[in-house]
Amino acid sequence: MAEYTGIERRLVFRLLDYWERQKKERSMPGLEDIKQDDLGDDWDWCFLISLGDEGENPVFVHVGSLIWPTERGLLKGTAVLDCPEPSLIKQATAFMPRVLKLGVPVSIGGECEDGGDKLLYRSTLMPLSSDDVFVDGLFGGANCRKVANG
Amino acid sequence: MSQVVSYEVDTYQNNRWVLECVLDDKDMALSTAKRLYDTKRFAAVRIVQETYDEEVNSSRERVIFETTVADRENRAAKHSQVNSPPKVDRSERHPLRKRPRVEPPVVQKKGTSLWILLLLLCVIAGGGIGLLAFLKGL
Repeated sequence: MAEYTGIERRLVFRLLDYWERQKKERSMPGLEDIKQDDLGDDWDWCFLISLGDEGENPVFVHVGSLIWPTERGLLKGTAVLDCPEPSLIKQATAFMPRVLKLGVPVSIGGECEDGGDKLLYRSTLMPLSSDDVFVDGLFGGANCRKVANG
Repeated sequence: MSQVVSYEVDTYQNNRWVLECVLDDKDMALSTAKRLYDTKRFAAVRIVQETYDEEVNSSRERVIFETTVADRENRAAKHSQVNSPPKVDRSERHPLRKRPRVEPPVVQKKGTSLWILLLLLCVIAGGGIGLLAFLKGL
């Protein structure tokens, strides 16, 4: 289980700013524009999803170790629909249809359960496109903190 | 009754509103709107609050924040006014007073009056001499 030390809105703002910068003159960046080196420590709070050609079977391309600890198994290459429930990653991808419908970043926060812990989380999900026409990927991030019991 | 509230941040581009992002947190929406506006790439930025009622499957929308180029210019003008030297309020000014007319000093013509007295003396003396001469002739 990852050690969740805090929750901050700044992560969401940093990711939104990064997504905005990577857009350049386009309406959204592509999957290849999201780079681990650019994101530094935030990379471990991020995940990437490829929607494929038809967009019907989205799979994880990357899942940060602070969202989904590596000791729980590898999520990379797994279908998003198959991700375990309840979990932070499930919660952070729950509003995927809304992002695909609107074609803009969406940020949601709230409470969820993960590994037996009750968490307060904040997440964001941003669309990606390789041709600037169809959304064929998603870039997301989330951080959280444990809710104190009692 | 179950209601879901979300905040849409829109920018005004090419004579239309364009949806930029959707957040469920009002403060974050305000920060995002201000950050977008500060880039100076958009003529205006606004936040639309959408309240979705799950029971009746309908939503209400209302604009809760909007700022335009005019707002920015007004703020800039106000800021420059604050930094410029303070001007005297017109109400604090004293009404203008008419300057009193200064009359030129009256110059006493002392010499003229002396001549008149001498002339008068001469006339009296001449009259007296004439009177004496007349009396002597009687």
